[in-house]
Amino acid sequence: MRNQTVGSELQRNAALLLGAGLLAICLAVAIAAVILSSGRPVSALPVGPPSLEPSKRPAQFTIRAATAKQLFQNGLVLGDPGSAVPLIKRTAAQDAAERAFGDVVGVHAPLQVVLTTVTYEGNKALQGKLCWMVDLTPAGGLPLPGGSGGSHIAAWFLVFVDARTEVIDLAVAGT
Amino acid sequence: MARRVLQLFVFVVMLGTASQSTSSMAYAATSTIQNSRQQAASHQQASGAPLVESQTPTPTKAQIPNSCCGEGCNPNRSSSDYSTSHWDGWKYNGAGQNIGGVYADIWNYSPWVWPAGNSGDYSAAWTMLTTDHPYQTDAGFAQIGWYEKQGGARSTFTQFHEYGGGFRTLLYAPQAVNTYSYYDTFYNPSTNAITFQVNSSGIGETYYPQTFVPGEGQVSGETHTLASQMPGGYSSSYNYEDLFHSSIYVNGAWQAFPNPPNSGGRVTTFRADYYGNDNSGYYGQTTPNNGNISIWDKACKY
Repeated sequence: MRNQTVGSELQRNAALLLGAGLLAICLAVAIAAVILSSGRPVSALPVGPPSLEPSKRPAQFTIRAATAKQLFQNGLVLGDPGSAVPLIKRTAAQDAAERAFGDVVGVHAPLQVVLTTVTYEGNKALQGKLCWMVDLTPAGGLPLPGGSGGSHIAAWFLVFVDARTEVIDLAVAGT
Repeated sequence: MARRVLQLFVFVVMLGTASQSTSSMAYAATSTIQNSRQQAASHQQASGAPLVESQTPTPTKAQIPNSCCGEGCNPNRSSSDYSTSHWDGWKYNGAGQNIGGVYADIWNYSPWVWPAGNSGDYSAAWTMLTTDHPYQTDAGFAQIGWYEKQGGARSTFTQFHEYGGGFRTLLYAPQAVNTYSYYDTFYNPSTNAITFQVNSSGIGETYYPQTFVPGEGQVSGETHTLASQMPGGYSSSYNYEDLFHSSIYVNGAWQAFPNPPNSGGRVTTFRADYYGNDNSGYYGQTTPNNGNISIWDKACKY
């Protein structure tokens, strides 16, 4: 009798354990489904008009050639890349920038090369994109046309190289 | 007990499915909104300025080796005016009209550029949308063209300037020298967007002017000092800097710059510096003919 009672208790406990296990699996599946389904639309949505709101994680570095305000006035916001890992090396980005614009600006030794996220209001494809920023500002500035208001000397010239593809996304000079 | 577990299992599966379908519905709704935005944008573009220039077949022109690669001709003029703009070109004043763009088929000439000065000098040729304004005064503008530094280093460039603001310049890979390229500056009044193309290819840059509505199209060569060569040599038409098929989008249609003086005063040519001084002693230009004009430096044969 006692053995029968113990046996039925064991069966009941086993059933409960099985049920709890199934429940845990179902909950895990359901949670994963919710996460995946809620995450998919966000990542699949086309990028909207670039927002120039200050980055939630501002850059932890200083651009020597230009202030954050100067960049902002030219439609640029740089941000902290966090733990993002570039697929191309810093030297490769530097070489790409110099090959493209070194002769034009007369600079073959960048002032600065830093990993950053970049948002640019003039190009929807550049919104929080991971790039190497290569500072090719000439020592005396960069003479540029300036309309009939007169030509001018740009105070800085920055090249942004895609940190995953080595493509130059933006080469911008400003005052 | 087994039935309870089964019921619980079914409930959890239904819960997961419901969440997924809700998210899918939200995604579908968002996608619909996005598609509508895209359609609206396309409609606005269709109702605004066209996004391609009305291209005329590019004429042929002989290659000019002795004008290549930054060695066109040293005009041997003083650089004492360094940082003074000089222009040789023409413009269409569209005051009172709706202006939607300007383009020209520009010869990618390689001039001689003064090598000294503040990071060297430049020479350039471009199309520009701006507003009519006198010399020495500020005005908003957007432009695209070629830009060359000393030694033949070249770029395609765009530049944008708000009235009273700074200058934003973007550099791109250059077009090949001794070829023609269409440089287009477009304005879409429906979206207040300025965009650019080179040979009908967009360059992915958009400006939204806040301080001006484009009302004038300009096509011109430019230097930064008399010491640099204005694009073009005088020897023959093969050596000119051509600003061909200069065209303006006016009230919904492209038209070539009319021949002055029969343009009702809308088209004027200029050879001047920043101060408005006459520079016709330094620079030449052909008589405009149905949108075509060519320019050169009078000190340079090639």
